Amino acid sequence: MDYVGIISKLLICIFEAYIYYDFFKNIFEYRSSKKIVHIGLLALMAIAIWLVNCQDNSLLNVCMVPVLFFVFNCFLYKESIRNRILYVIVFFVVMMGIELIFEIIFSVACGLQHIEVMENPYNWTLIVMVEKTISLIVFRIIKYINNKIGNYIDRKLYRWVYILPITSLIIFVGFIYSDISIGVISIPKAILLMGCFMLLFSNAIVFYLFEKASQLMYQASQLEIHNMESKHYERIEEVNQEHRKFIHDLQHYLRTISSLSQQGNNDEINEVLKEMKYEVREIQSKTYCAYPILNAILCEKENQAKQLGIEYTAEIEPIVDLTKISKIDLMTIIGNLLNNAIEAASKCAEQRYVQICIRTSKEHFCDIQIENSIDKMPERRGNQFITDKEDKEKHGVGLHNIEEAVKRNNGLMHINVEEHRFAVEISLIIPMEEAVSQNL
Amino acid sequence: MYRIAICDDNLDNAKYLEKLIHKICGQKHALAIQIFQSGEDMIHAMNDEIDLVIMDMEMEGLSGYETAKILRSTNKQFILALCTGIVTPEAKFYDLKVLRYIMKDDPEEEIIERLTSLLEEIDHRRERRAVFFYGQGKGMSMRFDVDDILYIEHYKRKNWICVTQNAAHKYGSERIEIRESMEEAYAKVRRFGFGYSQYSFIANFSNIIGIKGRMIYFIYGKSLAISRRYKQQFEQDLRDFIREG
Repeated sequence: MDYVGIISKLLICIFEAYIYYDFFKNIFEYRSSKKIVHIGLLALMAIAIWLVNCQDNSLLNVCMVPVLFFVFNCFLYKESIRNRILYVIVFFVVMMGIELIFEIIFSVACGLQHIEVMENPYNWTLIVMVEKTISLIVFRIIKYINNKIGNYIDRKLYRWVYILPITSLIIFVGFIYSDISIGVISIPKAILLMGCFMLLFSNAIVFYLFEKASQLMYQASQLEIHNMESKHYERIEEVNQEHRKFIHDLQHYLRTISSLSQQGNNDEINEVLKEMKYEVREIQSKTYCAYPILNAILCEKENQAKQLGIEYTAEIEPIVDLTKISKIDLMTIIGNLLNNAIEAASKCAEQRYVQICIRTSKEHFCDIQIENSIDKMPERRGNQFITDKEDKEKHGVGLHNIEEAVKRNNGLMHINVEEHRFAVEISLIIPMEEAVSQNL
Repeated sequence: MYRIAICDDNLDNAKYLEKLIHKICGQKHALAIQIFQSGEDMIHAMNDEIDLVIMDMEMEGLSGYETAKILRSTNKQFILALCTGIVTPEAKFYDLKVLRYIMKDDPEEEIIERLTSLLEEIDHRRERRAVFFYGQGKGMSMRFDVDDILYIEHYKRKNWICVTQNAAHKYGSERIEIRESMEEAYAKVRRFGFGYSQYSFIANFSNIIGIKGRMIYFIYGKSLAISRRYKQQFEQDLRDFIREG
């Protein structure tokens, strides 16, 4: 066998090892958390598969490769034997199935020339590249469907990544059919082949980077939640201080009432009592509800609205329970909608207001209404509202995210626009124990 | 007659609420109001015939939450309102199925408004517990509790009421044939929160526990699809139902 074939086979085996690693990393738990151990074991697996492949014996290949997958799975991941065998078989069958289907299609397309085409090392390499690219796409789609990736990144945006493997496929097939690969081995052809390999590996790198970006977005949202919760506790501390101050003032109030009662001045006593009630209400109004993250969002937006001279009203039913909705989704829904409302209200010349009302309804439903004043009617494109912000793309994603988060939480969203009034109505079904057990 | 229990360790507060309830009802409704000054007293004296419980949250001995939790464990039907001077909201109250909060410091008009809505709810729940349909026997009328119904179905040229698994023993089956047409059945239940999910299905919104895409999920694992044609109207009706509160 010539050196092009040998190197190509090795690179293909490395790529196959990557697909294997990528597929199993979201299913099983690592035995060792060290990256270097993973890389070392995968390199060993790639070499072992390559050695088997170099024997050019199909039967040996079919028997040995799944065994190698299983053995290295034992070294890499912690899992029960039953699950390990099951998943290795699934992985191998999908991998082999793709190769088989492609071989059949290719032999039908090429007819009798099939064997001749396959004998050329360039052609063989390009055909295997096509097979592996298809495998990568299939395994990625499996992960995508299982919701293992793209949770924190816009899923619609994520789909665009598939443009790269599809483009690669077109290029590889194009090379096979354009007869570039037929003939003697030359340096330009070797460079071309190297470029094809780099394209193949860049597919894997782009998917890896997208996943990293998704993880970073998740970490950023976790950090935001942490900040919000800290703000909630700061607010609680403020309320506690005011409570202490009120207790301190209570002595003064009681003395005043006592002296007024001695004078028989009932009107003044009523005034003092009114003042005391007012103070109690002021302290109470600083906490909207018991759920820290929701309370923090509401208080934060209240501050923003006040700074912009917007009248802010929040009516939150004390017993409202949104704890079953994830913190990220709650921030996406309430945070984004209040941001939009405050921004729109701040542009109004005269009446500036933002109102939010959250209440439970019929025991396991939740009704959220956010209303704000608007100066001009927002533009529409079909059912979608178009932002008048400069960064239109970013805003579009925000609205889309709100809708997605509402849907994820068994909800319905409706936008109602009238002259000088923009209202968003969200109806959520709060998951009961049974709904949780049914994975709804 | 409205059967109401008020539990408050401050007798003045309880009397005040009693006075307001009498003021709202006037001569229109007969009232049976019981006042208890502790959670323990209430638990000993309570029976299943109660319509509305107004409970003070901060009491000596058993708190309002503890008392309500004990009462709820045996009676899921009564309407519960918590009465408090200071808001100390906690998510655990959600499990008690509290319908309203009454703030002691609120102006009288607001308290009257809340009490009025609670009394209206008593009427509403009574109506929900007695919806009549014609069964298969000649002139046979059957009484249904709306909360037992999952959906009304048109199947094999006949119309059926499908009830929850738990209520099947009350009606003899999970599917009960009725003589009303789908339109007539819809007219009877519409005001209780029902909507067409398809031409041949009318779903009870109260028993929906999830929506995913075009599927609606009910308690006890039942599900229905929403047809494209009815989707918009169904969602609109469901939203209105939730907003009504």
